[in-house]
This record gives sequence, structure tokens and C-alpha cells, in this order.
Amino acid sequence: MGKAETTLEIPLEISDVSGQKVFSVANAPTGNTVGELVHEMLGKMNLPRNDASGAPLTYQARLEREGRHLHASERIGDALERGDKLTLQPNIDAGQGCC
Amino acid sequence: MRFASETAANAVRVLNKCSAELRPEGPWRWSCVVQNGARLAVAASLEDGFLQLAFRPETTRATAWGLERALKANNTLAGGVKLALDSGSRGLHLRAEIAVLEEQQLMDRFERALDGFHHGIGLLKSSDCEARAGHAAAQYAAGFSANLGELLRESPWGCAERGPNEFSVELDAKSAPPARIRMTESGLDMSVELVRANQAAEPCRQALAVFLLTVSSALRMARAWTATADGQESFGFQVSLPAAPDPEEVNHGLAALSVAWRMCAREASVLLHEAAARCYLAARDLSTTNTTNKPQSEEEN
Repeated sequence: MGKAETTLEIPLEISDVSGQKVFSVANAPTGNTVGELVHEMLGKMNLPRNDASGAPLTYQARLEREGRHLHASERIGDALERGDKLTLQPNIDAGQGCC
Repeated sequence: MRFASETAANAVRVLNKCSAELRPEGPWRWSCVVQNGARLAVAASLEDGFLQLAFRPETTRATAWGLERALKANNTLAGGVKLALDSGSRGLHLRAEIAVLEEQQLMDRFERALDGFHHGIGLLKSSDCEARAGHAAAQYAAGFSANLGELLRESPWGCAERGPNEFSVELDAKSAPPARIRMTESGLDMSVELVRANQAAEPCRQALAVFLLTVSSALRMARAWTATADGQESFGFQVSLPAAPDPEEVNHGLAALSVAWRMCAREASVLLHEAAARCYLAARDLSTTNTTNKPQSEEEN
């Protein structure tokens, strides 16, 4: 995790949607955004960037404590608490003008 | 189209009417105590036009065997309520996602979900989920008057009639089989099968249960199911709707099954291989051999 100017950091636990990959992040900078955290973790967790048909996947983080998806622009320090568990999951839409 | 403020207003009115206590917990989040028999503390939140309800018991640490049992009972819960597993824990919880419609419809869905929650708590407390399955959903049999075929044909989803009150619908997912839509005594049942196996090995069944219950917590409306018929075991996702659903609910439900297929079908196929299933159970710290393998984990500095 890149160091932000502020030294405030919190530990987080981040997993993929299957629960197979669980990463402990000891020092997530509170000044960073959730989008920056997700972007960085995708590489570390080696999550697929494309779906089965080759279309690019985008991911979002779901905060288990509140049962909601976080916006990429939310600041870690504002939205998260120490020890929060996040699940990274792909954004998949279906059925819009379907079939 | 409902605007966010109208959606929120409907949701808050229903929560107020149906809750003995309602306390705001944050933006679009509430803690409510509902009463339908026993008092029950439920977390409610509003996101993307869905009212999300969740009940997390304080102490549940399921075993692989228990999760397999839970999966078998999952599609018996009323109101589309489902058992789900957080990806970072071994504790089952109950949840439901309800599309926010008109106030009266929302209240009806909310009350059905409460029945599902109460039944689900019984399942969580029971050591044998199967023994207590099946009573709650059936009471919603009455009252279907809508024409299911008409409802589906007016939707943007391609459908075909397969029998009396039974249809198949093409999902928005490549290589997915058609979803099965049928009217049952508990309401409208929409389901898609992910995998089928002849006598799947125990680790495969348990790994599929863990995986599908985990993904259920990330999917709206769709809940995992398994069934055995003619010596074959099927695993998939189901959406349970009232007997006279709103067209918008049908649309959301079919979209949910499409997303479920796209998220899980390949992975579910892999888990039919016993070696892969054992690896997955070990990664989730749920090995059938009681080893204490920890999830793949890294400490970052």
C-alpha cells in the first residue's frame, strides 16, 4: 500500500467473493479512497480482470459490517473502522434490454 | 420509475409501521426490532432501490456438514429469505433483499420476509436443518390470479411454455441453461441449475454448499439451493416471489439469476472435482478431515 502523507492507517481484512482469498492489510491509509484500495488489492489478490466472455470486469467493495457497497470515492478514514471486513466483488449487470 | 426519495419514503414508512422499534444507524441504514411471534432485531438498509434486511445471530460457527444441511433447507424459507455466509467468516446469517415497490406491496413483502426470518432462526438453532424445513413457505399458496404466461411474455425476457403454469426463460448469461419458472404452492419459483452430479462426493457437496452460501451473501434476491432427484444432485440458485408478483420483481429476479450464473457456474463446475473441493474447504478452514489449514493469507506491511 502506498504511503499517504498522513500516517494514519487502519488494519482491514479483504476477501474475494468466494472467501478463498483472504488478505490482511495491516496499514490501509485513511486518506486514500476506497477506489484506490480496490485497485491496489485487485493486483495483489490476482483477481480476474475479464469475465468468461472476455469483457472487462470492474470491482466494488462490500462492507460486511454495514452490508452495503462502498462508493469508490469514499475515504477509508470516513467509511471504515479498524478491522473491518471487505469483500471485493465484480460488478455484473444483467437484464437491461435483455434478450 | 420511482425516484430515490420516493423509494426511501416508502421504505421508511413500512419500517415504521412494521417495527416495534426503529433506530437510524447511518445514511439509509436502520436497526429495527420487529415482532412476529418473538422479538427480532433486524438490520435494514436501502441500496439501489432494494430494502435489504439481515439478521446475524451472535454465535454461529457452522461446520461443513451443517452448511450442507443449511443449503438443503434454504429454499424452504418464506419471503425469499436466505441463509448466507460471509466470505470472511463461518457464521451463517439470514438476509433478504426486497425490491421497493408501492407501499402496500412492500409491506406485504416485508411481512412475508419476517415469517422467513423466524423460520430461518429455527433452522439456525436446529442441529438438523432438514427436520424443520418446509412448513413456512407453503402458507402463501392462495391467491394466485395473474396469468403467468402473460406476465412473462410482456417482459423483455424470451420465454417458452413448458406445461401448466411452467415456463422456461432464456437468461442473460452465455451458455446458461434456461431458467425454470413455475408456480408452486409457495408462490412463483424461478431457478437455474448450475451443476448436476451423480452421487457427488461428500467434499464436493460440502464445498458447493460453502461456496454457494457465500456467494448468496453478495447476490440480490438469489438464494442457493440443492435438490436430489433420480439419484442425481443438482445445485443452483433460486428466486422466490409471491404468487402474484410485480413485473418489476420478475425482471429483477431473472436478472439476479443471470448474474448468479455468470458469477458461479464455472467455479461450481470446478468444485465437482474432489481434489479442488478439498482445497477450497481447506482454504475456508472447513476441511472435512478437521485439519486446521488457514485461508490463503498475506500480511502486508
